[in-house]
Amino acid sequence: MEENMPSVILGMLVDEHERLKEVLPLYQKNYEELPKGSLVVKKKGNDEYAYRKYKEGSRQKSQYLGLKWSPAYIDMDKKLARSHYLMREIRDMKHQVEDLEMAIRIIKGREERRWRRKESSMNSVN
Amino acid sequence: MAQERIVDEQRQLDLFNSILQELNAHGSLDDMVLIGGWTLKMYRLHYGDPRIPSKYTTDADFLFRHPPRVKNSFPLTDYLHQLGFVETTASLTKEMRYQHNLLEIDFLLPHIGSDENSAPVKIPGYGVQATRLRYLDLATKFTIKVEYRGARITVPHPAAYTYLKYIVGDLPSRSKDKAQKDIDTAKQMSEFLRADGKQMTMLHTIMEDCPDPWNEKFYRSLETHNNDFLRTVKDYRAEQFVTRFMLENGIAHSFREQLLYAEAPIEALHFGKHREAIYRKTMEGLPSSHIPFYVNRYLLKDNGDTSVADILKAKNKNRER
Repeated sequence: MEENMPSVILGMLVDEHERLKEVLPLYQKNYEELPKGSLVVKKKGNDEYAYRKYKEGSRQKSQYLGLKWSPAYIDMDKKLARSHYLMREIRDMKHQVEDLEMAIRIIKGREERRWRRKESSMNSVN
Repeated sequence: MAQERIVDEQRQLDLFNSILQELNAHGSLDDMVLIGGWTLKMYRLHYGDPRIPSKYTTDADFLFRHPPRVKNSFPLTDYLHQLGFVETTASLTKEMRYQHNLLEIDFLLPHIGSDENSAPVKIPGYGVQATRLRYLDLATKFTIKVEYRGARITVPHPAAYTYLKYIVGDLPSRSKDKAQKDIDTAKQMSEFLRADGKQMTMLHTIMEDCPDPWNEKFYRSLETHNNDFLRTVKDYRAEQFVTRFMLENGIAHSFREQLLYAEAPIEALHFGKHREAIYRKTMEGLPSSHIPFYVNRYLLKDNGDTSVADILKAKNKNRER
């Protein structure tokens, strides 16, 4: 059936769908390895102290990291920023995959109907 | 409407391949750089990484160097006319284009110099009209060669391609659709660059080579469209600063980690011009968490030579208050 659908749009959508399916696990793996939550900096006197707030099950937890700009704070800040970015990208990619699947289904259906019409008109001519 | 856009992809690919074959037979592929959407297909073939997007395009853009290099002249215009291409000019932008119902070809030339000389240029030896565009000299300077159907095609280095996409995608003159496409491509390519240290090294080299206003544009675009990659670029550049400082001053490797941590407040709090003084204090034992205090209390008041012991004492006193 695929050979009868020389549709560039369909080919393009299928390629992108396959690419996303291939890339998504790479992003998910990276995301799973990273800590979750967000950074909170509290000012006490003249100093600023950093904490990671995160959820474990339904419980809200807090992890003390040390002074702002301490190595633990810097490391966690980088990891959480990456984690947030990947979370957004994964969510967007999943939406894209769903949209692509729907578009592919619609175009394939149209192409099939067009192909059948063509077939039946050729048969009726013969 | 959708049906109108349906093009025979195979016929388009055959046409593109036959043009490449002809250019290769005349030894012309060395004179030009393939840019635009087809470059992504070349990257996919060359690197085989799924992070590289491969987008459908009806455009094939060939970029000449400035000044154009012509190894073996050959009447390219006549050849394109034989294939059925016709020359068209965009009324507004005056861009020249060679159009076919399957493929559109743009010949480009980096636009260097004043805005007055922006008219298309006839490339000697080939006879084609090339449109001049800004920033493209970078795509001729940093290139790679990829094998494609027995030919060696020159394409921009992926790092240069991504850098350009971020800049061009943020230009106010760019149409909204094209800008969005540029930024999407740049974002996907960023993930590919991030995963490969060599690509990041090249991005750093490119940034060192580019004028400051270009780098500022690049940073501004990253800030708007991909803050995560902005961090990666800054971290990578910080590593390069540290490495250079260590090499130039014969610093032992054991200090590297501390200096890298010092880079975080330096970058975030814009202490770049005090970098060297902060590095030296860090090597004397100043913790990264005390850098803002040291800069504000001592460096900015010309007391940068104060010992770390005194800084720590002052910081503790400050804490008790």
